[in-house]
Amino acid sequence: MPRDVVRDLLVFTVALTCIGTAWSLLTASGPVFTLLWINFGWHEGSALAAERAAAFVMFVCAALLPAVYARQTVACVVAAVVAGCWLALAAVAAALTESWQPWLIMPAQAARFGACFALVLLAVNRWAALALIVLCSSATFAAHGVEALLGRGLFIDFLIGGALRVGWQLPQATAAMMLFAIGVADLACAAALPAIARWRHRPRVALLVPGWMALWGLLTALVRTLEFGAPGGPETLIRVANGALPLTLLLVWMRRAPESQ
Amino acid sequence: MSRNLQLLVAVLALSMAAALGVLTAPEGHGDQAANPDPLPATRLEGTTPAHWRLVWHENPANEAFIGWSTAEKPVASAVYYDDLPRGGKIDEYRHRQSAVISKYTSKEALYCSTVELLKLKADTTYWFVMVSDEKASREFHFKTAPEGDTPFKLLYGGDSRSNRDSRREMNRRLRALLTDEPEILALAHGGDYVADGDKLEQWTEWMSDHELTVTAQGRMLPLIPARGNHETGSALFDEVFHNPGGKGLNYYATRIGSQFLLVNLNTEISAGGDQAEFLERVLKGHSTVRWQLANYHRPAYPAVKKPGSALKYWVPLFEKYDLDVALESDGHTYKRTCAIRDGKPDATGVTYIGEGGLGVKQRTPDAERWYFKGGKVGSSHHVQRLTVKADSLVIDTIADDGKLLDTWLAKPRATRND
Ligand SMILES: [Fe+2]
Repeated sequence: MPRDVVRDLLVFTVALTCIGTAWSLLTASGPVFTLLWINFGWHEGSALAAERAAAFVMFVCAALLPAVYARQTVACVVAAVVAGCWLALAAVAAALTESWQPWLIMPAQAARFGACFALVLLAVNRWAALALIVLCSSATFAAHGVEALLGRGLFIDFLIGGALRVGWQLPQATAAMMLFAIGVADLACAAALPAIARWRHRPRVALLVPGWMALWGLLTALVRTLEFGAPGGPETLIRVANGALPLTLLLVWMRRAPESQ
Repeated sequence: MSRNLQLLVAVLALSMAAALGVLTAPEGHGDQAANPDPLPATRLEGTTPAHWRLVWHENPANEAFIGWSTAEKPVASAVYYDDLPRGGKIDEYRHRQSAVISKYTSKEALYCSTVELLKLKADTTYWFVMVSDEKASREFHFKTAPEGDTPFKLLYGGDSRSNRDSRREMNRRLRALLTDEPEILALAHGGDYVADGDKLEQWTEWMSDHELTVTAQGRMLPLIPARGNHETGSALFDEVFHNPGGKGLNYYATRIGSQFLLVNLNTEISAGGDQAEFLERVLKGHSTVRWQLANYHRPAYPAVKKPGSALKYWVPLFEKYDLDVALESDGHTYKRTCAIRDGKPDATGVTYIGEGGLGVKQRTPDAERWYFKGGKVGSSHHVQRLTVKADSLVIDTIADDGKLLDTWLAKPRATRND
């Protein structure tokens, strides 16, 4: 099977997302549990069983994904569909059970379930897969940008914690200003990405946008582990797609850029 | 492998994984029995004062905030109060304080009257009536906090959201405790009052249910509020509780008597910035106060979930300044950890007690977590009763039926007199 950087990255990303999701569900309950137990009145054990089942399924999905390299594409597609559906369901459940800006949750998590569906689409229509990657990357950055502009406390703590790591006592007011700037940058990237994707004669400098998004997406995923230690591990893996999807675009466009110029 | 065979293998593998998950899942608890009692709350009509609540912030010996709702916007609202009962005869009360009238942040038309009672006498029972235009409530009373080193009791609980019948049952339990034990001064609430803090209809239900905590004799239970994750960014939280610790900030230190400090923190904003500085300043400034506790929502040592930011930013300060107890909510279980220092059991450490049982459905805690060895966890609606004395602090966990689930005793730390 010839190397395909998009497929390689997507398989790797979805597999890591599945492992992170499974790990997270085995250590603490997630939004689907809350939805079933609190909103739908399920028995606690049944709601836990649903999530526990999902955790095991996600592990199997992660194991099935590399089957694509043995030309077992059907198994890979089934795994990606199942993983994508669970991740989308989890996003819907979070949007229904969280009270702070619930409308931001679906777009904020678009990269993680979008990666799964992009992998499925890749087997059928490469252009559509790339378009979905652009859309989901933009949505995720836009939602995080809005959260940053709203001054989310957790993000301020990430900045304070990160500064402390290098011995800098970052005042909260400065962290809040930095977060505002980050929010503006996130929104600018979210707006620029679809425009760059449609650009026929894409200059190399435009690749700075997906390049920055890839770097920032991966860094902000990693921050969860830096901030919370081992319990943040699954949170990092679940967010790998935030950086991996723009990275995919960067690699694709880097190849095409010279032709277009 | 043929496509059909691949599909079969994939589906089989996924189904087996799902079955394995179901078979290995913890058993869990069933739903709580419903309580069919009718609503006893004051009807919202005209300018009749309903949704009464009495809130304490920093200085409960001398200050109290009284709030209520009216269906229509009153021209004027006020509290008439005195340190003697006046049987609701408005002309006889010696003091009157006008209310600030506002509309709750909502599309619904519901109005909030709030009165600040300042310069109150410590350790004194005040009798009062809420009046909006010509409509008056019945006479209520409450007791201000003492100033000196006087024994008292305090209630603690959190998570009164999402299950109204159980919340009302717990409110009746609070009322029974307040009736039987007049030494109880207030309830510190650890947050998650409602499922969606932006929805006024949920607060309306919560405030109606809160009326159940008033005793038959009209004694009100003051509330010391902390913000929960279900009130993140909620303007209504500040409107209902009169901006405790400042609008949107909601971190503040409550002093009850000369020897008891309760630091109320907000886990829904930055924990590591100004709030950590505030916490350090307060703990450092009260180093000789005998009993020091914190009240906040997301636990550092949870019984079910993952730890929140408190673990990284506040626990080191708790340990540095020898906090006695951290009161936590959010987990929907009851719990008491062993004393913890530097991430391990240590008799000189901080004990974490909670974790949210004022009505929300209760979960099965993870009793295997290391910090519960020598502690206690369980699944039952509950409230904690703190008995504060010069020589001991006792924290009892009491179930909705009044049964004692756990009791814990602390002696004053030797380090306090340093
Ligand atoms: Fe909570």
